[in-house]
Amino acid sequence: MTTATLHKGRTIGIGGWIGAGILTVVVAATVLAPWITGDPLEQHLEILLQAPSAAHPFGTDDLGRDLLTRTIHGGRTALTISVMSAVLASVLGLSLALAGALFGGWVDAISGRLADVQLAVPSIVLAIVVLSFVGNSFGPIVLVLVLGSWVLTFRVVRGHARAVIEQQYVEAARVAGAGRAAIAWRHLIPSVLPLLAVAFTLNASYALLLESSLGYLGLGVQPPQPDWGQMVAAGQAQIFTAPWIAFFPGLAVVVTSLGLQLLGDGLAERFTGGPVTRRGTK
Amino acid sequence: MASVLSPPLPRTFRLPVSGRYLGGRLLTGLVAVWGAITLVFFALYSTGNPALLLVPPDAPPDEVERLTRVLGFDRPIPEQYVTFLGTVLTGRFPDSIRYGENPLPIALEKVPASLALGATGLLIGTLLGGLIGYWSATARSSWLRRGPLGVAVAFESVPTFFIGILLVLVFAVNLGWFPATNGRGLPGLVLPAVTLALAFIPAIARVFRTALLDVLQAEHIRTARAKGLPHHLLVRRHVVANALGTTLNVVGIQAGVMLGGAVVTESVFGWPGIGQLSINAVQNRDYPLVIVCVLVIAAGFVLINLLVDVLAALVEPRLRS
Repeated sequence: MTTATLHKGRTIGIGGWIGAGILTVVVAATVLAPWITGDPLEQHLEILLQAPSAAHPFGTDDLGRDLLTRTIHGGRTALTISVMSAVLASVLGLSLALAGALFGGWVDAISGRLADVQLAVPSIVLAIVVLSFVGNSFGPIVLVLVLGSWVLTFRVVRGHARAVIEQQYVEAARVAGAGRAAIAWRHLIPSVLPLLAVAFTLNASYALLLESSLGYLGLGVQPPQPDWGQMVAAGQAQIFTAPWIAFFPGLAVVVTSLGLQLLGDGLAERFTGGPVTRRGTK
Repeated sequence: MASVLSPPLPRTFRLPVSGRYLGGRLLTGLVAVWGAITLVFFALYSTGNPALLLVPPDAPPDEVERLTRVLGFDRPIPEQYVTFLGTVLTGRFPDSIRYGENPLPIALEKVPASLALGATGLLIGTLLGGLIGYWSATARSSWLRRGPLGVAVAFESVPTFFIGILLVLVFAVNLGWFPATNGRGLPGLVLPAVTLALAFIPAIARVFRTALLDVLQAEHIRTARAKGLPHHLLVRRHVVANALGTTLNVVGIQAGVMLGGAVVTESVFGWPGIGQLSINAVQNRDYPLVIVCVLVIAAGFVLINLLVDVLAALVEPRLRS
């Protein structure tokens, strides 16, 4: 069913390309930030709380810092944490799903049970416990995001891997003497790669939303290091006098997340013939 | 014989959900609460001496020592664990650093405000989300099928705190209709409730749509259509009722995500509920209060799940297993 011949001529669609375009711009801007913008902490006390203008397209904040610069630099924090969490969550979800499919029995039962546990512990509770007791530095934040999102990849990959392992060619490989590692490497992983790409974009989008929420709540990385969620929280105090301070960093989160979701939907369309990973839109 | 002595109760008197089903769910819930307590215990323990966290930063060393002894932090870990469970069961937590008294009543006091906000948000979210899902599955006009769902799905890319900020920008800053933060009474409830609702709507709309489409393909629907039942009656009588159980079940699974949305919403609007209290407690490093808040939220989460399960079993007999 999901063989390459059926997919000939299919593309990721307009939405997918728009998503890819958005992400390219966002990633390029954040990676090149030190070269294309100034210092995000530089203060200019003569231009406090200026509305967006040609010189400062996003305006300035209460310390006269340029918000475009800060927003671009804020993306470095938000994207580094989100992408790293998404990579780790994908690896964790993939490993557990493949182990469950390959070994079956109690391995499968335990990995399934772990996914249930994840649902029983709301991310916000986990975040409060870990970040308040262990501290809110890079490592614990990534840990919270990974624990909160690995199940996304796990569910997507698990169903597919279970179906593939039942296929005759896998049976044939087993009869021919291939071990579990060989079956995983030769047959399972190539088969789940497209799904993994889709799951990764979902994971990254979820991690970004959660990361910015933690930043907003003051549980994320600490000032003065700029971070989108934290910048929105700081801007809220001046929402009546300088609404742009809270608006632009938040908009950056929305645009990036939208880019990830559009790309994810496009990839799903391209590889699986429909957004199988998202309930309700089949 | 037995039936003569105690004639079977009329059908209407029977509990719609079996006690066994309820008991099983309650047990699962208790295991979840126990898990939360254990998580807190190990997080506390991972910091070294938990007593240092539970006293004010300026406390004299003998106070730290006293608390270490009273709470048994100088005992072996298994014994500490039992002591901690005992603390939770008796409700005698160490004093809140900020308020200087038992944090449990402080946290419980905030629950009604959270419930009011949660219930209002859930009501608006369910009605709107249900309507959008209903349109997207059954509407004849393709605009009504795709438009509202598309907008709802796009909202999944907007973090809850930013939905709140945007509503504040439009309705408090520009139009001045509602208070921006710290609002009381009905006007103060509107923006937080709508924010919370917007966090629910995409999930509810999606799930309800899928459930409706699944039911629409069932054979009894084809039969009803064949006998000439008008479309609107068909959908109302046969489709919606059959789609409710699945929807409730998935909403129950998503309850954790919604809980996060509720905590964020309370923080955005300064709503005096348990979510805001817990975030403030974290920021003030008031660890006794953090522990209590986490446990109250976990218990509330379990109760909500239980309620959803019972409701799902009420509307969907197939789930009563």
